[in-house]
Amino acid sequence: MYFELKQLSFKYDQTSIIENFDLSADKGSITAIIGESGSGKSTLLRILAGLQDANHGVFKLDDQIIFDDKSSIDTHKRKIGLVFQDYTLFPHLTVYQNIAFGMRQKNKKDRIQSILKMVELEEDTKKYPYECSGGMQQRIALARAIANQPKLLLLDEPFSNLDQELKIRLRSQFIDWAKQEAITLIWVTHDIEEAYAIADQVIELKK
Amino acid sequence: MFSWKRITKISSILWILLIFILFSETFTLLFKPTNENWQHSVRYVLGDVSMNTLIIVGFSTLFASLLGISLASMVTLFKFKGRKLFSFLFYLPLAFPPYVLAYFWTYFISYTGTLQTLLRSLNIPYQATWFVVDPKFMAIFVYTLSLFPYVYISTKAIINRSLGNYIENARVLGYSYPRIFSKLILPLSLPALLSGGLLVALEVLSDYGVVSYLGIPSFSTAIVRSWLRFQDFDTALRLAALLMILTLVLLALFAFIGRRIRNLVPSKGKPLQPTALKPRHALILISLLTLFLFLSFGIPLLQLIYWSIQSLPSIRLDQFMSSLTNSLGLSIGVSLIILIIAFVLVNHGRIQNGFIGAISGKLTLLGYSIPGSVIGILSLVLFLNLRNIIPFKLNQSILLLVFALIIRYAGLAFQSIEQGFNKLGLKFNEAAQVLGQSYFKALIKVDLILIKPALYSAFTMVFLDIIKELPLSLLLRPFNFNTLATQVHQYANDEMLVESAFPTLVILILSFLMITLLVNPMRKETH
Repeated sequence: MYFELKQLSFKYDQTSIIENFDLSADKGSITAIIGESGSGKSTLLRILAGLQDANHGVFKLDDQIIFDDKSSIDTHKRKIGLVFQDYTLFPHLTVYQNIAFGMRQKNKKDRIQSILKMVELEEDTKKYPYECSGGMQQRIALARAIANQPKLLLLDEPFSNLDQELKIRLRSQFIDWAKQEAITLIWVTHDIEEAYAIADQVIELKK
Repeated sequence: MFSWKRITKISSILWILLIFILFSETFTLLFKPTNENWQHSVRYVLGDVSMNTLIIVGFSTLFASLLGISLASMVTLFKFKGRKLFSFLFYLPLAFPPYVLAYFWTYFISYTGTLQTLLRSLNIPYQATWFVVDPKFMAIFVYTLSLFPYVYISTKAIINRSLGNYIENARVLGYSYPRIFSKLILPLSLPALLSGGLLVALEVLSDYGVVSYLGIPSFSTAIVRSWLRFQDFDTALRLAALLMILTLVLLALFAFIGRRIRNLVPSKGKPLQPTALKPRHALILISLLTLFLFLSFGIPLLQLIYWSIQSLPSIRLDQFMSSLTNSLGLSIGVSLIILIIAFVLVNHGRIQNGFIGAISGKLTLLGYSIPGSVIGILSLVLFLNLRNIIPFKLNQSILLLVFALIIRYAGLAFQSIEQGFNKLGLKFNEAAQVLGQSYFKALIKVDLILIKPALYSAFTMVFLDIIKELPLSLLLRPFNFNTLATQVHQYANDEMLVESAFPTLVILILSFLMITLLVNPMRKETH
């Protein structure tokens, strides 16, 4: 398996949030995680990204151990992307600079151009996030995440702030991009319909 | 391997140790026998000193709080011509060191001063006894006029940002403005009033210049006198310990009240839309505010300008330039060092939520609460003890003053930077980390740029305090090292008020500039 998570447990202040959770996925697949508020969906993503430490468990990605009970690779070395619910675009950087942030590829300019074309932001490269609409900000956040060619991309309710029409259009566009780039996705959503519409497998987290 | 996390942790531990060693000297006093001077102080001096200190601190805090919140209410509740200008001008009294106002007002009402001279020249009958003012009253008056902006700033922010819907509701229910002030603004601003009031109380407790000039026996003057005049280090240290205990009691009292009223802070308030005043009412308000500014700020400033022009031919340029260079070098240099220390310490607390971070933060803030004279004497003791370890006379170098200023003012920068980071949160840093940047690189590339306003205000606030600073500079400066503030103090003590005006004016101009630069980003943040 390309992605393997075994026996993951996480406690916060003695309260068990995630207990003995297993998950596996193939390369390029989409896994939707659903569950009610407080079930630990966002925490799971933060643990996978390395922003929070698990109490127990083993996580393997592309034949590399990302963490187990003895060791853990630092967040910035994991090559795992995360798209936050509120996008978290850097307010002091332009659209272009946001997308280029953290890129180390040799043909960086060509890649940014092709991504900008893909997300239809070629005309807006010099704008700052506050000058962009909600839909544009969403596309910038997704473009920034895939520009770095992550091995795994985690999405925390990425379209929840958009209206229904825009959400459906952007979602299908994004899935096409992800398929083109063969990126493995873990997609957290509270929308069960959305989960079954997009995912190869749907996992429910319970409190 | 380089690890930012490790660097911040080691720095925090070293900082805690340093402050602990510094303050530990006061505890060792308990086990030392007392000398004759101390016994004399306890019998004849301590009662007066304590009473004076309590009266001055209590009344100055009360009056500065009432004045600060009243002015804040006026400029936030009402819309009138020049409102923005007034809003800004009420920050400026912060630039006036209280001791300068003490020199000025004492002169202004004296027999040879401007007021009585004017009355005589206009043949207006008066009695000289009318203008004989109790020094304690003068001190309270001066502290109120120079320190009310602390309360003005904190309450204005709350009224502006959070009381909008409450005030609108009260108006719909038919409340008059005086009732809105007493029934709504006053109780709902209590937490802000308390934090501003605490700053006033600490500044008064720490001040040396005013009480020394007016000849009021207080803790600061008693410490400096025991040390400089009687060379009695032990008594000075014991007085410092008492003053420290008094400060800690004051802090505990404010913290206790703060805990009881913390739920008063409206959590779902909305910004206030000021009401346009009728032309007649606007005219009355503008006239009142102008009169207040003119009396409290304009007259002393005009007098200083007049004296400065008078004193220009007699200014010793070399002496003045040396003081100016020293003041600027010290203020800029120490502010920068403090900025770096506070940035590292805040970062430790930010990455690791633990005991070390919490303690180092509390100790840093404690430094700002402890009066300058106490920190001065404790720093000297530490440096004298270091003589046995380091074969260099640290206690006679500028390092001693720099060290004490850092301990005294690091809390100011710490608070500002911590607020900046709290507001920013970790989300941008985390976003940068998932894009392949280490915490440290994300800190430099993202956080540092986004918290620039907080860094800037931290620098400015420390600079403003150091450029006016008196007790530490007087006590710890190396031989022949003068700052603008010590030069002003020296002239004023020798009753050479005209000569003291020019360096005072330079302090004021530098402070005005810094306040103007400080207020702009604060305005952008609130709007």
